[in-house]
Amino acid sequence: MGIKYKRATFKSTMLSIATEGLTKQFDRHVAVNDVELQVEIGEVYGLIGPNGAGKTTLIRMLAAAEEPTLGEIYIHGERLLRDDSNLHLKQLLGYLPDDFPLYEDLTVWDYLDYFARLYRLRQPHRRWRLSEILELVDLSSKRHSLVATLSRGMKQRLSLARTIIHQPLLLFLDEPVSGLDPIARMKFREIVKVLQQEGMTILISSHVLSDLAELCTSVGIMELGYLVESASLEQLYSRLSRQQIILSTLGHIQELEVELKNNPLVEGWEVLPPGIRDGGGSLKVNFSGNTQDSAALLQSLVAANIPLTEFHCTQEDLETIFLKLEHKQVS
Amino acid sequence: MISTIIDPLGEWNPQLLRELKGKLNTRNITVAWAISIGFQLLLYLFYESLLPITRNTSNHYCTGSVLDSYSGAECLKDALGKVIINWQRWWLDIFICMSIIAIFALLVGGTYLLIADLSKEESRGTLNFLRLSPQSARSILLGKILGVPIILYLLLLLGMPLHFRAALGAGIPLILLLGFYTILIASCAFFYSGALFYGLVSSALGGFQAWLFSGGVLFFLLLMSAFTMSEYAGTMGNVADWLTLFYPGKMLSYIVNATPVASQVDYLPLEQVTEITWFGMSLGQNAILGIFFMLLNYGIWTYWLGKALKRRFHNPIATSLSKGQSYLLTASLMTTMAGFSLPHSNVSEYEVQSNIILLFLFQLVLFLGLIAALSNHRQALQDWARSRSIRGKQGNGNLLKDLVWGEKSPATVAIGINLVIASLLLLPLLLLFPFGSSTIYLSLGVLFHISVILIYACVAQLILMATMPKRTIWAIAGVGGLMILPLIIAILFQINPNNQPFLWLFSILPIIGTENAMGGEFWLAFLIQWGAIAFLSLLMTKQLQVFPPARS
Repeated sequence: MGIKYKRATFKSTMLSIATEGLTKQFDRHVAVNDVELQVEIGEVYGLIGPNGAGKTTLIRMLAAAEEPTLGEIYIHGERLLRDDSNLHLKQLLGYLPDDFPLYEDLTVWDYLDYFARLYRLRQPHRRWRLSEILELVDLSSKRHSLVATLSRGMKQRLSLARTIIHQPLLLFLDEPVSGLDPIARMKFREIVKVLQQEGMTILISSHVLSDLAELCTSVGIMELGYLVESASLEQLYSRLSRQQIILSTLGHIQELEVELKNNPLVEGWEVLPPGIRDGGGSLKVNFSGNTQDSAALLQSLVAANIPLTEFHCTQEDLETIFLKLEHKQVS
Repeated sequence: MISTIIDPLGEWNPQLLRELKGKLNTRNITVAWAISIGFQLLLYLFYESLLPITRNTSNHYCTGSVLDSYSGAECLKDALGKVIINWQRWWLDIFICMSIIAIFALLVGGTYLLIADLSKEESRGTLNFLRLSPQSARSILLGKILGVPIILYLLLLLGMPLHFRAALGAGIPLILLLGFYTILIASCAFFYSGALFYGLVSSALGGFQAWLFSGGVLFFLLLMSAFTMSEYAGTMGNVADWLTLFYPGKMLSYIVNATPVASQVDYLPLEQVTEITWFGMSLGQNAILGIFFMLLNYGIWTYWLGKALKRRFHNPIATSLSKGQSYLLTASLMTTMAGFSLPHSNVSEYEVQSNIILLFLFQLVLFLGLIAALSNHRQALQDWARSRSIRGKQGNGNLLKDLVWGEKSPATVAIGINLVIASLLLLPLLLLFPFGSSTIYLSLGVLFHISVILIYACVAQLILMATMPKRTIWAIAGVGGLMILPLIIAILFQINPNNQPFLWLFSILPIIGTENAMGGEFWLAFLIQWGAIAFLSLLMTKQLQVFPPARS
């Protein structure tokens, strides 16, 4: 935009990404609306949201592939502009779009070598880095193959390799696992974990919430262009996820229900369909107490001579939390 | 082996290495080698067939006195009865033929290859990765220019030994040969930058865009070579002379003149370069000066193309020029064009007037280009309107500054300023030089020119602001319609500018009407035109106000 409308008021030292009033409007459609995103260095930040929530537009703006209508983006405290004024900032960023186009006429090695040179990697470091990265994405055996001959999963990993060849400090991955088979997904997750251990800050958008739950340290939820939620996964679970206890008994389920009614911390339960659990029956109990309270509940059930075969504490998953939040947004 | 040779180049320019790796394979190199050698052989054999044989009495390559331009010279024989051949003339013909072929191959073939490559990268989506890399636009685009036509370069490089041999045989001074190569490289820099710029702005045309541009270059080169090769080629003494400076083959006139056989050659006359003047200064008195000015001409306009390329490469939705840049560009273009339009002292008043009318036509083309380069599209204007509404609330919204210098503001005020700059440069020319009675109507023509172009600018900006799809095409159609309509009416109703000049005040060249229009007609036309500008500006303001406000 060229003009600073607001003074940056945040402490940028610990922040990898900070946006102020970031907005993108296409005609009457507001794709991204006044987003104040803050991602700390070293985090893996998952961006969740239904189709059309503005995830891709937000990521494109953060990667300097799209110009914001309003607002400012700061990467490691420095203003990101879409011109050639901050080429060193581009050196810090890696962006993997959801369609990952490739040069099919080059071999895997030449393709990565080309991008390594574009990102100013010099010999002998470049050769070493290329070998290392091919090892990481499990494409060492394909180094002399033409890109055109690779499978979709391989192309996807090659694109990821291209994105991280220059060891960016900040990585943007837009729907990286969509269209991949379960094994390819697992491989991809493992690579992202390695990158996280290397200290990269990663912003990843995905529909596959179980993948995000496993990878992310923080989560942002987008809805109709708004960032409706942005918190660490821990906070999100403690705030929005209810504790649940799975109980199975060999006796009559009614006896168990009578005992549960006596405990004020039990908010309700759901009888699990027969056949899933062995024996008399199973219940999923919504429990509002802490760990000590659940121990006390177990004690009271044992004292009441309920023949328990299972007492298992669990939490609602990310998917349920996401559905709950969506409900909030609609209401 | 190839990769060990080209690998170090990649340290300097990764894009160049990528292009070379993609194109320099054994098959391509073999084909290039075969074509080049085969073509040179054919050319040599063709020219050998033109040499005189013993029974010839006259031939172009004979050494006797020249009979006429068709028969050539009288053939003289040596003591052994063999025809004495004018080898210098023969080698000169080969040299000129090869030079012109090289110009055509480089400029037509090179521009085609570059646009086709860029269009492929754009449609595949890979160009965005290059944009996001920390490489500068200059480095990426230079890599493309040097690498994409590499097979073409190879083909021509293989022809260089014969070209050099021909230059030696014709007695061409080495400095002029180097001068020709330098001009050829400079012309490539200019045309290739133009091609890349065109490739970046016209991606909507898809596969057709490369044909369109290189077809245009081919037409220009054909026109120019036909013009310069003619025995009667000279200068036109107007702004069209400037265009001929973009033809690298023009420099060959110096080469022909520097050879010992210059007097026997009836093409590429020297007058066409020595008589070109700019503000009365002769630009081509001698070869060094001529080469210098041709290089300067290429240099200045390549520089401007480079500026636009840099903007469009990094941000495809940006205007091709900033408003500030447009003011400087208008000043430099108008100064250049005015210099070539300055009449010589010994020409008639009619020629002077036609010079000025041609200059107005060139100015119109310049402004149509500026309207295209400066007019923002709907998205940018919306962004501008929204950011203004927010800055306005913060008391930080200087409208005039935004309209004169702003990146995303509407273009009409900037076009108006450019028109004032152009007119300020034109008016002294009209007032200082002896146009006699024409001075007043020419000056009035300048004023009407301003208002007509401003109307075009307003219409283009308004259409680009609308919600309809394919706005660019509609904007071109809208402005084109406005330009053609008065001409169609004039033709249909046979309206002659001498009898009924009023309509002509609304044409693309209002100066045609100002000569015969009366006072009342001037005022009426002036009122209608400025009323239209005010109305269109009002519409634009309303349109900007109805854009949905930003929600922050």
